[in-house]
Amino acid sequence: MSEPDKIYLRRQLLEWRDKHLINIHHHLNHEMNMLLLDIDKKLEETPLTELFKTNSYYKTHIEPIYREWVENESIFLLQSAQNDLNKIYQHLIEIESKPSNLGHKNNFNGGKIDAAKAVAPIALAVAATPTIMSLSLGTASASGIIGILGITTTVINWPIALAGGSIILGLSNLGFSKLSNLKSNTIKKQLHKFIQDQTVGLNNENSICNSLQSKIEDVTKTLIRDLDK
Amino acid sequence: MIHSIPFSIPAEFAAGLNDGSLVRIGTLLKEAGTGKIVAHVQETGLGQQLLNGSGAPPFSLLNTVSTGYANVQLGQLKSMIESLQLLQYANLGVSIAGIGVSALGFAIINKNLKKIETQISDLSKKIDRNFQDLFENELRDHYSQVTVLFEKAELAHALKNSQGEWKKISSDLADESGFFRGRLETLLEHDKFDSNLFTAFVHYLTLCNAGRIECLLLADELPAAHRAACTIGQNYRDLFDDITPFKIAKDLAQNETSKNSQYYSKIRKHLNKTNNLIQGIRDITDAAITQPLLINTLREHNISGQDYIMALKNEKEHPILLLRHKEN
Repeated sequence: MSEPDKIYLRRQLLEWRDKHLINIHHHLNHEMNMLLLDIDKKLEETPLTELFKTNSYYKTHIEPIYREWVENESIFLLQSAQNDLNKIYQHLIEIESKPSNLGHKNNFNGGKIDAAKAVAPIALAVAATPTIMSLSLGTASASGIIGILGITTTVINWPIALAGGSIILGLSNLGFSKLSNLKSNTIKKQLHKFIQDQTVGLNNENSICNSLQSKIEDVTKTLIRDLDK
Repeated sequence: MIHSIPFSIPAEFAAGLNDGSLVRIGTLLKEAGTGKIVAHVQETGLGQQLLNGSGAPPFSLLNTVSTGYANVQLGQLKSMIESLQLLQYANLGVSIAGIGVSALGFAIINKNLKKIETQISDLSKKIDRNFQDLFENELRDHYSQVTVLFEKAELAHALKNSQGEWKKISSDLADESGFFRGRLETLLEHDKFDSNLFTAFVHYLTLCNAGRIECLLLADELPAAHRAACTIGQNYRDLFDDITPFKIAKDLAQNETSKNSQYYSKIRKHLNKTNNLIQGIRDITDAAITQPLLINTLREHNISGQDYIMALKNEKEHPILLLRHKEN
């Protein structure tokens, strides 16, 4: 690859990274509303007393919704990033395999275009479009993307809403409407806050957003480092 | 040929730029198909004067630059903006220290530096104590030193041993550039990103480096100019590559005290500004890493550094010229 082409590709990779870091944050924030709606619907269907059991309610009923959402959105985002990366490298492969064919009035090579001397296609550096999965520095498991993000092995410590004997003792004194409020105002709020932190919490380095963004940054570093070789 | 140097004007490349067979990266035009270098984009002294006089802040979008100039200069500025747009520039970031080699003249560089010094002093009153100490103790010494170096560089034209003087000044400007690079590194590590301070330091850094290269070219030390340009390009990569619009927007949102909007909305708001800033920084970096290729072209054409700089300074008609690459 010529030096100008390397510089050009480098810039495209940086812009690819910048674009997808923003995309990831924006998309997860936006789609998280749908996740919260699904979870709220589940909560509405659940008797209040169920919610005061131990972690098991959340693990059994809420966590599958959450994990499915994470898997779907992560795949969507990484696939979207991969598609853009494919376009960058495909364009390079295409232009490197075509002879120069300048149809404009300025003939920069003295007016002679020799098809026999067309640039040999595909320098080693662009022999295959790099894939985010293969370049990821995370641990790839049989479950693919989710394995990379470590979600299959991560234990999620759901907040045990209002657990504790003193609270339960007090429940019998509350009227129906107050119990409903308890569910909607307190439990939902707590759960929403927890999920927001798990998904897009910018100060949570293990949030889904930060994990996906780190992958994009790692891939960019690897590809640019390869250009310099 | 212009001033006996193989310059061309941007319009000659319009067809290739419009049909995509030519692409600009940094300050060079290359064939999209083969990656071969066709020409190097170069701002003349006229171009630098026009943009400096326009009063447009650094990193402004090109289509927002307006001016209160008289008609002749307004016409020239408009023509320059059109050339930059034809050459696929979107904002003024790259023109902070000149596109290609700087031919602004050291006296004018000093005027620019004084403006930045005033901006930084104003900023220092608004920021926290850590930076105030920095400013009071160190920055003023360095401002003075840089100003003196550019004064000496201007004076060197009249000296018998001007080449020796320019070589020494280039070396001293390298030290000053190192200082500002250090300040930028510190600023980037700080929790609170200040875009005005960042822009001012970038301005100082790029002007010091532009001065270094100009001095080496005036001293006809082209191999040294090439090596210095390579180092400068690598330094900019190390300094700027990891900065992303999202990171800066996040920092700005986290430090915003207003409770009126959600964190997510704050980030979105800041992204508009930071995208523009980062585009400018990327253009500056690309210009720096393609500058060694321009210097190589000068060597291949056997053009002396001094002749090149003087040709650019003396150009009164075209704000942007392109130096044709030497055919093999």
